[in-house]
Amino acid sequence: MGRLILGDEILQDKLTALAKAGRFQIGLLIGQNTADTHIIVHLAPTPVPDEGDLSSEDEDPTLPDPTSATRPDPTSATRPDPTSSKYPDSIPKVVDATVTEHARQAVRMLPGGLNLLGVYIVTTPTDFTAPPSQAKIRGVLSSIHRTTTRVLLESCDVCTEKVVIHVCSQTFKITCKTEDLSTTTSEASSKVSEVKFTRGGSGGDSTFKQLSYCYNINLNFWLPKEQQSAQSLYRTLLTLLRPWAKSVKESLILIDSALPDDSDTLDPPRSKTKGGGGPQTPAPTSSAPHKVFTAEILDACTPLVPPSAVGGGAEGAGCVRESMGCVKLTGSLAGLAFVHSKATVGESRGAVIMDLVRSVVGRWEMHCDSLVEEPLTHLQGPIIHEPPRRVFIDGGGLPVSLCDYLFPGDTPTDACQSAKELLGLRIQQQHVDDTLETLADASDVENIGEPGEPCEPLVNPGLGRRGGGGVRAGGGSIGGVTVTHLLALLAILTVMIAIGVSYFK
Amino acid sequence: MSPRNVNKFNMDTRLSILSQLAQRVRGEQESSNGSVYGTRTRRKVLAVAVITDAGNPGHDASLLLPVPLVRVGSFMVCKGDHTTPTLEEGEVAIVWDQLELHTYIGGPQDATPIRYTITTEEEFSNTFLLAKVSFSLDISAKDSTSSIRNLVQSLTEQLESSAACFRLLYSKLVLQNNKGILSLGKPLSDSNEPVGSLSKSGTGNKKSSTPPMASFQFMFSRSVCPTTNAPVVRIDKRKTSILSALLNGEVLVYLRKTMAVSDVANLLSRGMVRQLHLAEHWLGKQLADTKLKGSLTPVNSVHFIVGHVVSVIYPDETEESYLEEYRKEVHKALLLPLNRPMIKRGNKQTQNHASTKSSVLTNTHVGLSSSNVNGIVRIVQGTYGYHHYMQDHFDDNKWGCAYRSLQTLVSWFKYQGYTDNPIPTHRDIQKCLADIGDKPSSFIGSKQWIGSTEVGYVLDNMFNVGSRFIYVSSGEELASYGRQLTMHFEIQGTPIMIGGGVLAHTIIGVDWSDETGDINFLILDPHYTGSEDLGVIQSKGWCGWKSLKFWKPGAYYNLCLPQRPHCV
Repeated sequence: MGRLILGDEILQDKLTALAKAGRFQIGLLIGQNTADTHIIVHLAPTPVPDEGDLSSEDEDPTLPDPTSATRPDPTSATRPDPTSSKYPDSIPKVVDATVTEHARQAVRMLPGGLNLLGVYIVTTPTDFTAPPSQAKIRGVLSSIHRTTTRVLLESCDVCTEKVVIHVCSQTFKITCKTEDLSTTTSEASSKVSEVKFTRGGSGGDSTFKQLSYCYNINLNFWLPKEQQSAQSLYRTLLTLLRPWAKSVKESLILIDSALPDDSDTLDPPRSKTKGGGGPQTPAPTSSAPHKVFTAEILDACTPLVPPSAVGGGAEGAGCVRESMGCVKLTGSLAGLAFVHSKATVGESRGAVIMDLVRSVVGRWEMHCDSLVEEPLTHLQGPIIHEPPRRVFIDGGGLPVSLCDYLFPGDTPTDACQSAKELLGLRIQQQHVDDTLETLADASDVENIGEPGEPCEPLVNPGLGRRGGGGVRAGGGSIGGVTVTHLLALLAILTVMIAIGVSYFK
Repeated sequence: MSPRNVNKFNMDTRLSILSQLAQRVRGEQESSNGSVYGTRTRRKVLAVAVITDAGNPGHDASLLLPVPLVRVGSFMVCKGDHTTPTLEEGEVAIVWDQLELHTYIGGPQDATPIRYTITTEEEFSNTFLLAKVSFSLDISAKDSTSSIRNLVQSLTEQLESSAACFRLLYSKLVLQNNKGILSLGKPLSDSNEPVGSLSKSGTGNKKSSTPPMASFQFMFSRSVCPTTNAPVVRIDKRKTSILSALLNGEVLVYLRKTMAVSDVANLLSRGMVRQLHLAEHWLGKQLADTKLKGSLTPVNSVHFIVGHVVSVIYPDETEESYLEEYRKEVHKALLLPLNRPMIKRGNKQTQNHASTKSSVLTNTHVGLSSSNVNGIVRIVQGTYGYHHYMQDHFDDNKWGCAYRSLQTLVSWFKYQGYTDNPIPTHRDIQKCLADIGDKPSSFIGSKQWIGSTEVGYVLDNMFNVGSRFIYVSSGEELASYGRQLTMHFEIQGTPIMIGGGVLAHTIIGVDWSDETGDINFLILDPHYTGSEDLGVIQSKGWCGWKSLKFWKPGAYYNLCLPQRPHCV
């Protein structure tokens, strides 16, 4: 038997409803792995992609090479239309790349601790049990695993046991099995599993514990001289982020200003205080939705790369040498993670690390995806890239919050749109909190470089969602000034609206 | 302001001078001016160091002094009469006119004389706890002094912010700059406890000349976010020259035992900033001089002539000899003698010898009861290691005593910073003697004895240390060398190897009466085969005072007296 699978009764109802509708459907299971269970919190139906969503992703050679099977086939650009009959009606017709792309985008909306546990499929037993279908499912699970793991840059271990829920479209029966992707033979890897739907969903105490933190990222990297010049933007930054992610693993994470051991329980059940002298702490109200812990992340600030690698060359420190330039990543990140009610401090720290790395890498991925073409950086001065900022989403009936990323020019409505498209959730705009991360204003951005080396904002007016990220480049021009003014105007407007909102509260 | 107030002020403030400082100042003959550095509490000024204008290390010399030492007044060496110095209120002045020390304190109107007391090395180290902060910072910047300055400036701002945290090693106690305590943990149970409770060694040796130490790791809190601005990436792909540089920081800071632990982080942060500014000086040097290669590594020393921490930085891969000019300037600036190394890499303080189990014990005579001659007692100056039979898993029982005595001699030169070379093994010693032609090559690997002449050869050839020799035809005759031996320990201060008959010993001190001619010898016996147990070594006399009768009347004795090379 694989791990026990847990979920709320509501999910059972939803699955049954899907079965009764009688249409084929595939979707992602969102939830959390614990030592001995998989806790499912949400079902996200895989949408029929429109072309914009499935633009070819960055073909990055440094990433673990996804097998060609998972790559979107450039000739299959004509995607199934939601209204047409081209939506897959059986497992063999599922396009691997569609599910993978769904996973790639959906996982960015998850706070730390949550991940994609597997897939659910509504289909006939014949379709489900056919050997080609089983092979296909395993392939899809592998792609999902690779996609969701690579943004973590090896900073966390991801559970290789994946969940497959089959909802029989004839009997409406729900069955479960797990696939262990770490074993090579498909026979040995596949296990029947038990699924339990209960009120609350995670077996006992259903509340998730929330961990909030902020993280001031400040990385500086001198590009080595001998580096091949034709490196993509994405890859350039990844050379900086890989050692950083490794160092994040080593950081010291305080929880509510204390350093509990990894093996401690994050939120130990209150033992009944025996009558005694000490002042009694008021008993917490047991119905609190989730308890919020504050995490603080400390690191030793040690150099991420050895001095011999700084700027390249064989010599050690204390030498002047040539560098091909400088990459700086700086700003404040708002973080969020959730852990199940009996989680240990170690699991909680792991969830924070997962959130941090996924948020940094994920938004950079989004930024690079959004660029129509790479700026010819070596011809100009410094260029500022503004990856999308993070917003948080409450509501939707989930026991956890979600998140999304807004490009300059996007609005919270775009986050509602993402939640609908990628997670099948209806979110009201007022449940999107976009105050925890703000758009850096022009003067702050300019100060990132050295004083006396201004970097005038210019270029690509933000095209908004999926149209183009924020890029500001050096070398001022009249156009640049206009954009600056526009930005300033926008900032003033935003402030005025903010004041207005807080005034009328 | 009425004169009464002036008096009141002066009566209330006390001045104390660290004994080593008073001693160094009294030895000065050249006229000079400078500043006094020390600590200031509400009613007491403690003068610990001076910085004179005679030396110019190329940077603010006070960066070499540990936090919390600050300028507390002025300093002058003159000949003959001097005028009362002009002082700000509360400032002190120390004036040496070649006859006596004059001390003054600034009142609301003018300076007036003030009495001073001497703070001994022990009193000084009992007042404080030493905090050590280790860290490593990438300080690479574009190859211009302005870029380096900007980088140091921005790092300074970070170190001075409340993101700067310090974790007591192996504990859950984390201190936070500007805030106090971030995470409370053992050995602290509440945030109001004094610094003294950080030092676990309540059993610590009261006689120790260095304070107990608490080690911290610098931690930077990423969760102190100055803005909510989302991360942005700045890419500049223009070719540029950079100075790649690394600071392997190690900061020592004095913490008054009575201060609150919540105030500690600020001092540690100030210590780091001080070291960073010292590093800035070297970055500028590295730009201009390709010979100054290497990561920047601090050398913290507490030389017995100084009595407090001096913290210099050197680039790792730079030859000692190339740094000599700099060292000379530092010596001059801090009023240190120019005839002995005090801030070389070899002087780096190695704290807690006892804690490293396998290592050789040092200064095993400390704690012995005194000798009974009641004459002039002179003992080896500084630190030596007790080398004896069977150490390093090497069985030299019955033949290696002179080798071990030589190792003790070498250890002194190592601890005092004269050499970076390792302590030579028996084989190294034999090879050296074969190489210079004193012995055949078959000598290497043998169990043959050596005598004081060979000890002198090896010191000379391997360590450039010359020696004087004394030959006596009987043990009793050693009594007539009382004055010479006393002078040796006073001027040279090195351990002496003595060989006679079949035995070799190390003399590490004498107690000689110039009235009666009586003499006792402080002996370190290399024939000890036991473990590094100070109790046994002292109680069984392996290290102890011996009378003249210790030496055999009928044997010849040869003494090798190593002479300190004059260098810095």
